[in-house]
Amino acid sequence: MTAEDLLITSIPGFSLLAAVLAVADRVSGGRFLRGGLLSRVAVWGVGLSAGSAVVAAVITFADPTPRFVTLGTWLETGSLTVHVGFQLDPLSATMAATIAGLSWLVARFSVNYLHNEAGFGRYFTVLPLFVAAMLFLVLAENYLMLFIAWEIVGACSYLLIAFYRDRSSAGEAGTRAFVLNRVGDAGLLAGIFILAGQNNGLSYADVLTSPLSAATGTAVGLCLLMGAAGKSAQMPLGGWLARAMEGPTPSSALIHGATMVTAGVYLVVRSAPIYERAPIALVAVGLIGAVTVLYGQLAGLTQTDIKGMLAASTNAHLGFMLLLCGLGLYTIAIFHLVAHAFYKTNLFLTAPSILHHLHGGPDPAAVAPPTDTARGTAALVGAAALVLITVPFVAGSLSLPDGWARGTVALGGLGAVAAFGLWFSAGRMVRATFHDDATRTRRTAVALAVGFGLVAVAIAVRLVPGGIEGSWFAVLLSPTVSQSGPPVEAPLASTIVLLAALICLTLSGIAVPRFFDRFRAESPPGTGGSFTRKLYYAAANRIWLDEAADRGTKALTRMGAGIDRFERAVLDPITGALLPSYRPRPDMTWETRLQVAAEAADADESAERPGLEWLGTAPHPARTGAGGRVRTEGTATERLSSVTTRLERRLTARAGGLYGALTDAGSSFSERTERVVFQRGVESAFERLSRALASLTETIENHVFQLGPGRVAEVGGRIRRVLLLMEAFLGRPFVAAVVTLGCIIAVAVVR
Amino acid sequence: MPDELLAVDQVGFPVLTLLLLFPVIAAVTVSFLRDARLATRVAIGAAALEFLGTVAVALAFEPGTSDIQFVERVGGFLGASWHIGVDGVSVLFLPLTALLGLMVIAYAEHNVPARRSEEDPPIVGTARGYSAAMLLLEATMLGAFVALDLMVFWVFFVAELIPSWFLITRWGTGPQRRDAARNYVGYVGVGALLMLIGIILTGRAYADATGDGVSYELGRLIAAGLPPSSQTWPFVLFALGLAAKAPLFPFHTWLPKVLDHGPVVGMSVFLVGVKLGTYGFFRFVIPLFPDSALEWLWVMAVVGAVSVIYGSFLALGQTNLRRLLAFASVAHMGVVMLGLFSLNLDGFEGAVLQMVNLGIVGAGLFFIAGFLTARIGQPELGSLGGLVSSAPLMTTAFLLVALAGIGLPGTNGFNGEHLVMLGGYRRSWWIAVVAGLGVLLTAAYSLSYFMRGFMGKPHETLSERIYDLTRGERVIVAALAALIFWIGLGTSPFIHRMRPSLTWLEQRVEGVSTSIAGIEARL
Amino acid sequence: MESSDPGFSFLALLLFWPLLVGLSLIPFRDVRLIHRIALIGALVELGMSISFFVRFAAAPTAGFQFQEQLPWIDAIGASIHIGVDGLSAPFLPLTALLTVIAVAQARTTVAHRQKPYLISLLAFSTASNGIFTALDLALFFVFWELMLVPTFVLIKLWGTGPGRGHAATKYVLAMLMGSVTLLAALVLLSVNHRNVTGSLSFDYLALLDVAVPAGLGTVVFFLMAFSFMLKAPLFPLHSWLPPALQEGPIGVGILLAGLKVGVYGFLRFIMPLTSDAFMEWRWLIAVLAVLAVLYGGLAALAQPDLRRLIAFAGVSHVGLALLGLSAGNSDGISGAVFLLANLGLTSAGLLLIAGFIHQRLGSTDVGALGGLSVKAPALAAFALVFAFAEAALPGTSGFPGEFLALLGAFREFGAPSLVALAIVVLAAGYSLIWLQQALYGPVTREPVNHIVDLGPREATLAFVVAAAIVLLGIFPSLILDPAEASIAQLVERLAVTAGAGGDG
Repeated sequence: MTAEDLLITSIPGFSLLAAVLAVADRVSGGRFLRGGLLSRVAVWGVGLSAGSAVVAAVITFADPTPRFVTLGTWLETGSLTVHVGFQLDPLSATMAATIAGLSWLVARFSVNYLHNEAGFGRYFTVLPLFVAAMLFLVLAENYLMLFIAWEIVGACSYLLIAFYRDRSSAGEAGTRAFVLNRVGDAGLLAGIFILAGQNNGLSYADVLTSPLSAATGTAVGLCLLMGAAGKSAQMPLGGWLARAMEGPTPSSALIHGATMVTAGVYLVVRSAPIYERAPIALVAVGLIGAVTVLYGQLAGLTQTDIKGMLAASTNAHLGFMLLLCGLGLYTIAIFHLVAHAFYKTNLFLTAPSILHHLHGGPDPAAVAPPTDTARGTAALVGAAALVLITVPFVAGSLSLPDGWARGTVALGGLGAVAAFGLWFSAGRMVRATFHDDATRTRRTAVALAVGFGLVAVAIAVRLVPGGIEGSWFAVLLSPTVSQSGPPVEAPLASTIVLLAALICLTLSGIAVPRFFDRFRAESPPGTGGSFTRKLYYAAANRIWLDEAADRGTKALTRMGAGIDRFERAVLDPITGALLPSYRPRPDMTWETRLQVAAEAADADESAERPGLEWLGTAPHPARTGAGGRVRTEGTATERLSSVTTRLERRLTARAGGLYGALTDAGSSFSERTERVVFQRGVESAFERLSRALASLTETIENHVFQLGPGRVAEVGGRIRRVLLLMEAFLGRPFVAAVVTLGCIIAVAVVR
Repeated sequence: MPDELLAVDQVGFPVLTLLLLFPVIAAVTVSFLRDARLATRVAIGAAALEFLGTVAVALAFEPGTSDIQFVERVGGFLGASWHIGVDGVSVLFLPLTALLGLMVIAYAEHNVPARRSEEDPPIVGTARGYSAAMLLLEATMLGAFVALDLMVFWVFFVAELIPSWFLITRWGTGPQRRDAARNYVGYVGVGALLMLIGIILTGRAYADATGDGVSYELGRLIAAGLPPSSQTWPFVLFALGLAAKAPLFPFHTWLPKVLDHGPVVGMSVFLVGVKLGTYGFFRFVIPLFPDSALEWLWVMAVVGAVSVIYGSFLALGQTNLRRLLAFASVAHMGVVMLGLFSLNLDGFEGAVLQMVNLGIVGAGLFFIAGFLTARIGQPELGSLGGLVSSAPLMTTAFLLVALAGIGLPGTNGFNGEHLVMLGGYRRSWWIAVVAGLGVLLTAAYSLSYFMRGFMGKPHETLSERIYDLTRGERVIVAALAALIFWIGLGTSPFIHRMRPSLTWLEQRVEGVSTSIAGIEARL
Repeated sequence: MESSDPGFSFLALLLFWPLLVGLSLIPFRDVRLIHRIALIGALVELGMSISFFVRFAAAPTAGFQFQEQLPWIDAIGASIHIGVDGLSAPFLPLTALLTVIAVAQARTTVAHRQKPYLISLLAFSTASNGIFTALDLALFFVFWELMLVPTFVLIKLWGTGPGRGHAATKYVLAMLMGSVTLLAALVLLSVNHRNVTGSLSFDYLALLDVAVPAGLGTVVFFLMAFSFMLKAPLFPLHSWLPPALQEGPIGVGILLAGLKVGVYGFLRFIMPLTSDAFMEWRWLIAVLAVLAVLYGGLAALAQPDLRRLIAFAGVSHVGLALLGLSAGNSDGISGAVFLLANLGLTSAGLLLIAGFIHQRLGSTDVGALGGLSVKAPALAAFALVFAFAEAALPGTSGFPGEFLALLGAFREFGAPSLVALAIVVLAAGYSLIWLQQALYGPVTREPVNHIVDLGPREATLAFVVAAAIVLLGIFPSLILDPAEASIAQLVERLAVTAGAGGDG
């Protein structure tokens, strides 16, 4: 393993190490990493990852030839071999550096932000795990490893969304996010299957270079897009992102603002060669992106909750990146990804945290009239908002040199609209945030520090013209990522698609702010009325994405319930017993009743069943009280026969059909067997047998082991005495000498 | 004789000599250190390093060949020469010995001079000298294991007596420890004397058989192949000497005395744990005198059988754990002899395995005996009982090691036992029967002691003096347990190291037997 | 392996050890002692089985190792013949592990008649060991039947539900139906052997060598398939499992849901012995399997009761495994094998959780739960791990099996098999939605406020299972590599017959 390999491995390695330590600590019940130690471990692990990621990035940019590390074979069947390995090229290096760096900052920030939360330890167990998985995702060398990391990342996001366990909304949001992601992942998995069907390895090196037929390529492209849509919260799977804000703010910033959600974009860019061969898929990418931008804008404009706004704008920007991909402007997409990561983190960390301790509640609508304290922070957020607005312009307008036809029209218009909408929302945000007299707390200071740092970086990245050909960024990425040629063989289709998207956007950008305040005052939901009004409500309700998802789930569940009824009403009678369908009453299920009775019976059990000591009784009476542990298994049998039979009569209906009758007969027979044979016959037989055996073992034990009374003992004693005498005799040296000489003489005689 | 790979070619430096010299140097250093605490620390460090070194050798040893490796051959003096090396069998014993040494010295750090009951005379030695003596003892053991020259072996064999003498007389825990020491040195010394005669006879026979001068090198002697007629006397003398050392019935009587009155752990662990005597049979007697081995096979087997049964029965009668272990190890030796003198591959493998296993088991039990002694003086049944309630860990440890001794599947005793029985069965059914009987008796005495000493109701005077394993003791026990399960569950690596050498040995013996058969056929 | 091997192939000891331990319990009276002995015995079994697995994995072969053969009933050519190959090797440690868990778990749950309970558990363990190692069809059948008795007794006498009587009877009747057809199939095979070679034989290896004529093959295939589908259980024949898990005690649930001997039957007997019929009719199996995946998944989605949920989840995963088998290529089969191992661990874990909750609150129905994670964090954490494994999250043992099985199916049947991808969503749905309702949110039920978190012993149990799950998830080759040779052999056998004329 060369130094480079070691370096590359160490990028996810450090975070993974931290995660393992943290998990071990949790398992051991938090014994080792007391106090702040756990968080320190996490921060250091992530920080070291960031360090090595930066070093790796420098190395890569110095010499952009991809580097491969293979740690081993993960699985190998006859026809499929998958290695655990990393691929470090400019693309993954950029991603890794961005992710690790941001994660480190956020981790450090979280230490103060969460220091008095209940789940402090839990948070810092999941965070490094997430970072490790995320780095693994971008560094992975083949699609399966990417998928694995992809899923683990999703699980981490689930854990962090459902962080506040006592809120039922958190649990719901987490579950929704995970399940919706799984829908996308099913698609991604299908794509992987198709690729694996094509060639029996899954590494980028093989797959991306292997020839694909257009049809297959399209299929793969669409499947991968499905996955990307799930992870990057694109339409129609994007509903989960807004709800994902249930988690603690830093995790939202990191996972649902900056890093995890961009995995979809990364996937598309990484699979660019496939998309190049599948124009239709590429159009689909662009279309999905455009629609999502629209959705994001609309939703963002109408949110009253600042995290809601940010989530919506994240939606929009992710859509924007996919749109860029759809246009084949992969470099710009990546550039926008990086820039967006920085300033979105900045926004997440500054605005809500400030609100959090200035107002306590994250709703900017409820604020007092302005006084000008916290000016610095205001300027800060202002700067970030400026970035928010102008990046599309920069990215777009600077992309003039290549391909006028699509570059200007698309990006110019798009940028304008996005800018308009974003300016609006950003303006509101800034206005809404800082109308308060703040007492500067330590946390403000931290927020400021982190914020300044982030903005500085963001500006540093943004100031130079990013993304387009010839710019340093493009040069850096060029070995792996390059602008595609004109994206579509049939430009008409794509142009129409894009224009449609643009028109929608324009409408949104112009109309909504105009009519915004008018409709805001009114009480929802006035479904009647003008188009914009409907639009407003649609946007305000995030065009009912969540509701749609819920309806889907409900439909499935209803189907399942139908199946269950079929089970109980049809299959069970046919195949025998009709099962009791009892719903537990919250306080007292019939079983708890049984247990209470059981505990009552525990006391005088032996008295009740004289012949059965050999069966053994409960060593200690079951702990009483609801919530305590009770011995449930077998309670219902003997001692409670009366209770049981009554319950069974009530709960078990007779079965139908011949087979059912058979079962009934069988079960009643077995009842009787149990009562008569087992208890009287068998049990007594067992009883006698065990008595005999017990006494036998006892006698043996007495006579052989503890040399107690009895002939055996005497004989043993005698033998022992004899042996001891003999021992003493042999003990004399001259005996030994005699024996020795005897031996020698004997030998001599024999010879 | 299999080929020899020179240490210089293999690792570039005489590793074995270094391994032998290191403890000696360490011993000297330790004995000159003023600060006793520092001295023990140094001793422990040295022992640990020694252990690592032996492990390194065992790892560097390339398995799958019957070659003798890391060989060194220097000079010659009256036919004797510094000729040492390891083969697939002895390479197993180096780490075992070093590990036991490490444990003993580490244990000594806190327990010498040991806590004891009043009637015993006080210990006169210091922890410093103790460690030094232990290191010397360890060095001699290792030397005996790597010796490839009869004289070298004999020198180490005798050299071992010196530290032992001091250990017993100065750190013994019993009133008659001087008698014990005298007894020990007497028996082994006389044995050594007989063996020396045997060695000289062998050298002569070699000189007569081949024109060139006297030589005591194992390789040459085997290559030359002594004529059957001149094998008998050396064989008998060797057998007597080694039997005294092993010890085998009827020369075993020094062992109970030494273990009873000797140091708590210390050399006792070596006596029980390191089966040097039987190793001598394997290394020298059988390859050198195959004809006599075949001829006297039955005598030796009977001796082994008697040792098994006699030892077990006496152990069954003992009330003192340390004496019990003495007789138990006599029985162990018997089992090993049965295996060895089945004179076939299974028997050899079983015997060597059992040398290792029973070594571990014996050492483990004796450690526990030592723990008990440190708490309540002599581990007499009269003052024991119900330990499980006050010292559950110690109880578990004892049960585990005892079960390993009985050969519970999954522990190390199982495979060795089974192989010995198999080999014995190949030779003759009654050997297998005796071996099986041995297992039963082992179960009887160890479990009955367990039931009476550890189960049952606690002894009234026990409660205030007994306490469960301390940290260091736990470490020792854990290491032994790990070893037990490791050998028990993954036997193959050990077998694969030793098998080629043993196959070679079997072929040698078979070759002889076939030739004999041929001769008889001709007559 | 000849007996001079140090490892000393003593498969028979491994096979009967649990039963011996069980019988040795009879003379004892002290319940604690009984439990301790049973547990130690089970642990020793685990150690032995692991050593067997390790020794096999050290030198994996396509053929059988550690074979032992004793004469039994020469009249019908049946002998006591056992051995282990790559397909059965993983299941010995699995059985032992599940037994250990069931035994250890019984210590705090069984209120009454602990001794016969433990004896039956251990007997069950021996029976399943026998099923996994038998190389003689008659012997296999004996063990197959032997499994019935303890299961019936366990469900009948220690069931926690009022319907346990019916559940037990239902189980027995269903199994008997299956055994009839199985017996018929075995006899037919042996008779066929006589027609070819002139002597009856039940020996597996002998039967492998004689060709089975097409018509007979089909008949045997259907007879066997019925029995194994019933035992597995595959979709239309699964209705004995939910009641058994819902009404029976946790321990037997762990063994029943964990050891899918039915699927193993497909793997070991149907596919090699009647390969051409299998290749001809596998589309039927595949269709049923896909149906089972959807049916089980959807049904599980609607279950308020965790134990019933586990049952349906098992149905759907068995469907997945059979889909992989019916693909008949190396991916599918290795996927199925891995899936079986995973099923054991995962359902054991979830049932443990169910048992813990049931012991504390008297019900595993979400109606009686909610907000557990606040009151019992450890319980919740382990529940999460097992739920993720159930949802086949990568990094747990759930993923590799599912991935390979689906991949194999896709290679063989193409796009239609992607329907089974629904399990990716469904599994996540049913496991996580149940968890969300049970674990998250504020505490609404009074008893939950007093719930006690896992004690050290319980936590240890759960941790062992979780550790195994993660271990297999990270190193799937632990199971796949030893099995590879045997699977390759099987695939090749199937391919030959397919080439010979059985159209896929």
